[in-house]
Amino acid sequence: MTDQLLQRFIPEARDLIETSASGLLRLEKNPKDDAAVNEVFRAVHTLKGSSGLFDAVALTHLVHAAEDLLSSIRADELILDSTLIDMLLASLDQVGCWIDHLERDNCLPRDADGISNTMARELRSLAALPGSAQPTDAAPPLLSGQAADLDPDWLDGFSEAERREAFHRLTAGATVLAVRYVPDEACFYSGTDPLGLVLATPELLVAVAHPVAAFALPPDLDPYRCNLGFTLLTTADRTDVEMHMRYELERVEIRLVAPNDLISVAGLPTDAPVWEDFREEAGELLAAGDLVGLAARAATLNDLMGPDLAAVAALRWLATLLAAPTQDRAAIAALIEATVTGRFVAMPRQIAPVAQPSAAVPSATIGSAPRPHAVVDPHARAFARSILAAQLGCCEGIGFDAARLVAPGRVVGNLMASLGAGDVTDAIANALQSARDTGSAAPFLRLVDRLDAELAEGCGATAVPTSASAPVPAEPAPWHRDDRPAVSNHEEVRDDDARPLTHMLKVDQAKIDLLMNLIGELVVSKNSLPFLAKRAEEVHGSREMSREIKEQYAVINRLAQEMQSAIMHVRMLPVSDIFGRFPRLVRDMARKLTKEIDLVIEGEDTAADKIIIEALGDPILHIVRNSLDHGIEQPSDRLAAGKPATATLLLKAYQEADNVVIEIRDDGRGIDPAAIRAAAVAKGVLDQARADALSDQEAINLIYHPGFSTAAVVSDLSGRGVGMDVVRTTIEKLAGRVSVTSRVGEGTRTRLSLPLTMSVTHVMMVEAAGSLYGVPMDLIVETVRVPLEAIHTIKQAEAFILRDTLIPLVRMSTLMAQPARRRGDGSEEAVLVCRVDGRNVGLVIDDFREGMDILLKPLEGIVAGIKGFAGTALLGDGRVLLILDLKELL
Amino acid sequence: MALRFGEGEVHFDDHCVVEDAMPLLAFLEAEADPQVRLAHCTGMHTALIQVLAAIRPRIGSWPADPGLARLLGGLMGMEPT
Repeated sequence: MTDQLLQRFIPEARDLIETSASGLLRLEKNPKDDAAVNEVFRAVHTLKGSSGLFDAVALTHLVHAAEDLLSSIRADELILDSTLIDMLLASLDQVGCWIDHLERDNCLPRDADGISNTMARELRSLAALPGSAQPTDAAPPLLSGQAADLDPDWLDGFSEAERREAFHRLTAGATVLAVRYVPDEACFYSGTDPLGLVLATPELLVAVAHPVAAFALPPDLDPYRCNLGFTLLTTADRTDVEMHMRYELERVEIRLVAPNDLISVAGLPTDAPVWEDFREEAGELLAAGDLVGLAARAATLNDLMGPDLAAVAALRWLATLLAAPTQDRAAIAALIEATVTGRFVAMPRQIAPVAQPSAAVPSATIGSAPRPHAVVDPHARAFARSILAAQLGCCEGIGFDAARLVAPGRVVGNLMASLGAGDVTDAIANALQSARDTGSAAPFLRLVDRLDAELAEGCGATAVPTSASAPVPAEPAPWHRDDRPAVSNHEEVRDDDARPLTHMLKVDQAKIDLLMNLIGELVVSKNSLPFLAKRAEEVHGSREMSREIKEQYAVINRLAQEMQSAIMHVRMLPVSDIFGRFPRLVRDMARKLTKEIDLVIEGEDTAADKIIIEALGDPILHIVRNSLDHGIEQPSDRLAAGKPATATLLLKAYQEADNVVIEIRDDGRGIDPAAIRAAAVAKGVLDQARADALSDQEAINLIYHPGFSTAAVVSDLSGRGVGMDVVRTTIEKLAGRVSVTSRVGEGTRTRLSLPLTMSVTHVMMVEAAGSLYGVPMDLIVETVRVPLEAIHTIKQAEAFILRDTLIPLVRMSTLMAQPARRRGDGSEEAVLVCRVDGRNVGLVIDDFREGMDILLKPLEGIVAGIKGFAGTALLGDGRVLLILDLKELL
Repeated sequence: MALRFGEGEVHFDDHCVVEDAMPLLAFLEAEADPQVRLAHCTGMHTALIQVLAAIRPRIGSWPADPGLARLLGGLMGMEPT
């Protein structure tokens, strides 16, 4: 079920995304285009609505944010500028990506919740919508790779041992995330258990809680109002954490923890002179690079002093740092300082090379000292060198081209700047200038070579002469920086495996119609082949030729039939498409009307042309509503009338010949012909004499009269007639028929019969009353030749007995008011046994002819009113064949 | 429910749910020096830990789950044993 819905949703969603995107583009050109705003809004709104059916919370969330934004644009609260359009388009792209993912895996990617939250937050902040007033929304985007500084108070609740444990994890190469979660006060009522959620966090290191406000004293203490906030440390991936907390992301902040964030020195103050001595000594050891000596010295002192001193806490951290795989000299120096001051003053925050969890770079360089001139990180260095090598390769490959050297120049400049290796812009500009002057790329190449060599030595651009005086950034910029993991992830998705091939093809209906017409013509044209075969034999006397033509005809005939059924199937939809909405509608209406109704649906697999199916929806709705509202009585009335309290409403579809028939039957109170007659007279539709002359059925048929579709009459008529002429008009537009039969007290049956338009009809040609006619093959039960003596005359009517059944006979010549021209020796009659309205009837004709496929063309224009004919068809030899409508005729 | 009330003490058994919060609060208020035993507690709803944090009763035994014990201890300013 869900699968089917999903399969339908996916192409629809793609369409909606496309519509929105093109609307946005139009809006960018003309922001005043209200139609476009509405179009985009509608598309996004629909997308939001339909996506809610699936397990795609992240998608719905994001689309919802987009919808909110569009809604304020629509209300003119917000001016659409290109930033907004960019954001909206980016969101749509993201949604498109997720749709691809949904199609492939039936679920959203794991990082969807985080991305959705970030993007939604950005959308909301752009719109400055009320939602952004929430405190957590003011937080920087969760996913910004440029890790926001961790407020020191985040880690306040954690003990030194816990911090040290996290530190060890970090130095061992793990990523440590700090998560702060402040649940909504009323969250218990929505079934959220924040504590359970927190404790179940994947790879949780430790979690602490703190009251958001001071707890009230018992009479005022409300245990059902959440007053706790949580902070936790985890080594899980950010995506895992986001996935875990996906329903609470609005209230969650996630930060990367850097090693220095964890170091804290707390404890009793001391001013013993020993610490001053230690600082001096340790400083010397550090300067000399004797870390082992330093560790030994610290350990000795640690053993001597009480553990509660802040200075001793600093010593413990010092030991931890010294034992780490790589040493952060700045932090060590700061800790040495802290032994005296009792406070750890962290150096400017480093961007740990683990900024992006998925990058998972081993953090061998944790806490690289802030040596501004040097590029210490070997990974960064190697990476930078590979970029330089690529640039060199490019330049060497293309030879000298002043214009084309500019781009590599810029790349190299940016690279060095982002490495914090000093400003080499001037050097590059000079190199490029001399390259232009000399007409050779050599100066630039030399510069790049030199930069590369310096990188190889682990030394930055300080050695580049031209940049020696250049200002040096105070803080190294991160080399590895991932501003938008959202986008990069999604590009990955796109690149990894090309978008799966869609199996749906949207084709303009006109094209299908054209194809259908052509196939119809082909079917008719092939009918000329038997005539040709006949001519070959009769006129040219070539039996052989005739046989070959017939063989060819058989092949073409088969192909044409296959083509025809294939094209029909393209357009066929099952009636379940329209019937599907009735169970809910009937249920809701029955409840509203306090009636008990049992809806029975039959034949929902019956298929019909798309146009028919689509057009049938409203008429059926009208009729069903009428039945529910006015036809079906209250349970008490029904019981009083001796009927079961629960009424039955039957919706039935079936195919009858080349028609699809929809029957809507109820067992309600029925239509009272007397009331209709009275109303018709009152309405001035008829005069009293004519009204009296009408049969009951004819009176009931009056409900189709346009004048009857008014409320006043409806109430007098137990409601029948509401919109009935609308129903009739709709159905007749499709060349269909509506009929209502009703018995007072027993119920009403409405029958909609619609042709399978443009279908090729299989008919049997018959000769009757001297002319050729076609009879739809579906109606024919069998063909028999009945000896004259077997025909009995019962009063005026003739009949014969076929396998113990009495079949009434009708002479075509009588129906056509033409003299019969019997073939053969006159001892028997050719009888076509047809099934009309559920009864067998024998049609006496002159002779049988072959069956054939025809393209039925309804009677039009001046002949449209002629009764008894379903339409015409063109024969292969150019003659026009009239197709009989037996139901009307008999 | 997963709470067992005894003479001056309450035992938390298995996972205690949000519905236990009101009875717990009533009990802790009624008793002069209530004691809470959590040795058999495998988990509790936020509402309960909140009541404990607000009333700060004596904790007779701590939950076996170190994460829960740690969080509760921190919240009550006590060291889990």
